[in-house]
Amino acid sequence: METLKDKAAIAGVGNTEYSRDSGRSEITLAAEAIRNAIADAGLKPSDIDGIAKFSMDNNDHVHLASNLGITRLRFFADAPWGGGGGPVGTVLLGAMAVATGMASCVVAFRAMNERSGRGTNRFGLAQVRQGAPGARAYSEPFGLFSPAQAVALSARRHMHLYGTKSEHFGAIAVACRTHAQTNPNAVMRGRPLTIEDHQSSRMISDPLRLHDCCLETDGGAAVVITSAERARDLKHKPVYIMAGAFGATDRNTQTMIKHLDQPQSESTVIAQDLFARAGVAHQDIDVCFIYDHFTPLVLMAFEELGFCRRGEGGPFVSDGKLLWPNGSLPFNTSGGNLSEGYIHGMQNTVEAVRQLRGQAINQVKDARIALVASGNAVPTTAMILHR
Amino acid sequence: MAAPSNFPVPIPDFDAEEFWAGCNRGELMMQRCAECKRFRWLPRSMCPFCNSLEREWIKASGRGKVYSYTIVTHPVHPAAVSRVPYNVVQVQLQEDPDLILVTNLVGIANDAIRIGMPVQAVFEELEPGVKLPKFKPA
Ligand SMILES: [Zn+2]
Repeated sequence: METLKDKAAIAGVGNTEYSRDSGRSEITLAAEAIRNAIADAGLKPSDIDGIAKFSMDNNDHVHLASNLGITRLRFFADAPWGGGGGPVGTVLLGAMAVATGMASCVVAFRAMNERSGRGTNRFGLAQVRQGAPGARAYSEPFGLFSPAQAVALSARRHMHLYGTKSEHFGAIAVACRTHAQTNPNAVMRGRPLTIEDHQSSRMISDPLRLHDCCLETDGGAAVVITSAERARDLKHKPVYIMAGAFGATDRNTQTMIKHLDQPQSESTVIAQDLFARAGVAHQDIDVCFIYDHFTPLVLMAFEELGFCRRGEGGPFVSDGKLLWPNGSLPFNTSGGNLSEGYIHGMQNTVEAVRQLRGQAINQVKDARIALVASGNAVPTTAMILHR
Repeated sequence: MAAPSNFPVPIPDFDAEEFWAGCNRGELMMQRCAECKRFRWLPRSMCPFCNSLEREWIKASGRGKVYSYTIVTHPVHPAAVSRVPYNVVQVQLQEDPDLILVTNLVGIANDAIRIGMPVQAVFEELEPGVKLPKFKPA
């Protein structure tokens, strides 16, 4: 069977500043991040003929085209499920479009004022409604509103089943925060975090503490995808899309609530395809990016993606392997959603490309292969990249 | 809109009207396939096991056990401000391990809640005419 392997590449990356209040419109953030990514690739806006966006993004394809001067738009698509479909699914849509000749150069992006609320409502706050429709009828009347509260239920179940501890969750938060300290664009630069700080941070929804939860951020991030052939003629060495996968199960109807007693999850569906399509094994991954909305879901993603066995995520994340520069599996090396900025995971995709180009601030020595996974606990996406 | 003083009321969808009507009568009505007799949760239109569109509503015992729980301390809804800390619990019904409801435990201190403890359904009014299925220690 023909696959996507190495048919498309990421040729450009760009981003805005990440802040708590951009003071600018969301389309300004999107246009700037995309403009930077196009320039980084050594392309002109007129070279772009495709746009793939998060379905949640408030900026639509044609308004962006009208700002960027893209006069001939041949491909436009949305990736659903927020941080699940978005930060990788948009890239895979672009890769499929260029691999099939539907478009020649596609931008994938995310831009939002999620912290200041200039255009986007903060995800951590309940939307105040008259009533609870659909699946929300089975959670909101009982006071379950936020993703953090739903994740707390799964975190508690994992602790019960496997003896996982809050300190295990903390190790993930500390790794991200440590990596952010050298990143000038990280919102949490200058605010280091220890396990003790994590353990003394206030409870949000027991067992989830403040430092188990990602940031809320204003900003934009974008990448340019083109064919492998064309990428080889551009400014930087191509970062090839080796394999990608989408995954969901029929258990994803109550978003952010996992079903840990089931053998199959959105991320196990992905794992079954991703490594086989790439033709690599877990130990071949030099640097990994796991969508870090909430620390327990990162731990569960490592298990479900097959980096360790189910139930062994706590010890797996706590032995220092995730920490740059000495760990064997450096993770979210620019600080991630937890400490660089919450651009809905798109900042992790940008950082993965910089790692494989050798341009990262916390550069992993000789990084050749990177794994990027979108958000666990919702229908999700992942890809393996190489240089 | 003024800040609501209560959590939102459920808006029953077409395939779940009997569940909410049952709550208002004080009965926990669970949806089951009329062909293969397997339960499902959340309520839906088609049986995922045999694809039958025929469904029946079975009065459940209301007995179950705590599957997981959280104690919410940070309010994210206006009506939560005066309620924190409050518990949100998942209860697994004894009829079928796939029936795991998000609910609240009543009649127990938050720090006494444990996974696996037996519980029994009770029905509490959220607003006049709208009862929710909650659980108390059995
Ligand atoms: Zn059936």
